[in-house]
Amino acid sequence: MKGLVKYAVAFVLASSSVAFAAEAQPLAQNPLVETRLNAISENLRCLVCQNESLAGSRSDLAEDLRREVRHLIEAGKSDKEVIEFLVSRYGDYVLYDPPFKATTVLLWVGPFVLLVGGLIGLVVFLRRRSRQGLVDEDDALPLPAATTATSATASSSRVAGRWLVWLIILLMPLGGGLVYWKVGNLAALDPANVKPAPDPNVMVARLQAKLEANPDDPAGWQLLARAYMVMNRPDDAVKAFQRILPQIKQQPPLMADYAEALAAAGDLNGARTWINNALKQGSQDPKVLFMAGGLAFESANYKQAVQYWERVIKIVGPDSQEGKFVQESIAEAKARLK
Amino acid sequence: MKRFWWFLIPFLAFAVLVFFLARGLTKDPSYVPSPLVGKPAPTFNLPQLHDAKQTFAPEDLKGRVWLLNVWASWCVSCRAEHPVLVDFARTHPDVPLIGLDYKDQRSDALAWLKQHGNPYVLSAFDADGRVGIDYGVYGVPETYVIDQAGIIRYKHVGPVTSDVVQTLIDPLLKGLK
Repeated sequence: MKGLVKYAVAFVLASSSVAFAAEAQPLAQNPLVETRLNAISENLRCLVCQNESLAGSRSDLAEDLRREVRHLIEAGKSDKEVIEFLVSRYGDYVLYDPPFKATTVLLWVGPFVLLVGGLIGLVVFLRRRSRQGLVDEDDALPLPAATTATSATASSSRVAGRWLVWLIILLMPLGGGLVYWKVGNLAALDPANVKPAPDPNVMVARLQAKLEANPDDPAGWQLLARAYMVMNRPDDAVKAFQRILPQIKQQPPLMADYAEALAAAGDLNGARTWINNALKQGSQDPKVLFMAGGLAFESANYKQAVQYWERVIKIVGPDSQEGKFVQESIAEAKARLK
Repeated sequence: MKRFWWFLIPFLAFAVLVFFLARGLTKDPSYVPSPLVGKPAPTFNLPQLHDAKQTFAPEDLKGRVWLLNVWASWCVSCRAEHPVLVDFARTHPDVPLIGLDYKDQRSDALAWLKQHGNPYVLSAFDADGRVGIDYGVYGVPETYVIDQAGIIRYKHVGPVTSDVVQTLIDPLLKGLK
């Protein structure tokens, strides 16, 4: 008996890492995958709300794309392969950092061409002006007093003009460098600074500390709890869930997560209470229904277990990974009915 | 006189700048050029909307020019587009119009087609939107023209209007035959 609940919990754990297809789960269970997902999607543009990155967007499509990226990461694809996957479907448009190629030459080279052109124009203009003195022959001032004054200052203004040119030539790149030093990211220029992926244990501990300092963050607690579940620390997961009980009370899928943690920690009665709660609210969440079936099975109510599990199949489809698993459970329950 | 020309340069530069900015204003900023045009249509094998036991794959239509229209019952623009598609199906019996029902509920989609008429030869049912991602769908409705060799020749984002059919799709179809 106990064995089957373990089995059920194992199913829920296994399936939650794949994430129910119908329910795009906003938070990943594996902090390591999540870190890479964030790093990649931070540099990709969301196609629906185009001023947001894929990481920051809450649009449906962005959630789907994050789910795809998560799958690819879990399948062991490199960052480059993941980005290639998206570019082949949506084009360079999704990249915040477009590649250098024929169609983007103007984008990359244009500013420098303009800068060099402007500098040349400036030099030509200033040299001509200093050579001619301050006055052009075409429209020399008609006042005779002014003409004598200009020729007297001509040589000094020529020297000043030349100095001005060199000063500008020197100051422009210097100014550019200064601006980059202030607002740019110098560290990014050094390949040695690309951080290795952090250790999940350290990350989870850091997240826990951050949440203790700033506990009003339900999404954070949820992430922490899921991380603990993946790390096979259900007692810690239960503790994390307990910090967001008000939120759990409003969301049946969260109730299922909590009940799963409780069951894994050995508190079957607690799990039952929460699942019944979720069912009372009319939840159609596959995880709620699966847990309900598992708990019914545990109390030897095989008929009811089969009913719940068949509803799960209807939602996730008989051919999905979860569906196949549930079918096995149904067969097991039916065998006991006989 | 020489000086006059020198002063003209900033004005010319300004005019060029205004030209490009003004052009930028008339373009649709939400338009994303698809890298898929000119490439083989991504393959898939999905259950059909009306009969989940039957499937549809793009290879089924190899050798024919056809249209793939991505739609959903929850999509408002699809309703605006719908009469145009019904009309298209009527006037182009030789060009199969295939629907891709994107991230929809089966019952909702069936009711929607019943209410507004069904222009599609059949609709493939893409419940989780995965095929949509393969096709680079980012806003429903979208329409693809696929040729005999299975190459995507044109992608239209947003509702197809009768104007689009006449000025873009019809000439393209004529050229493909």
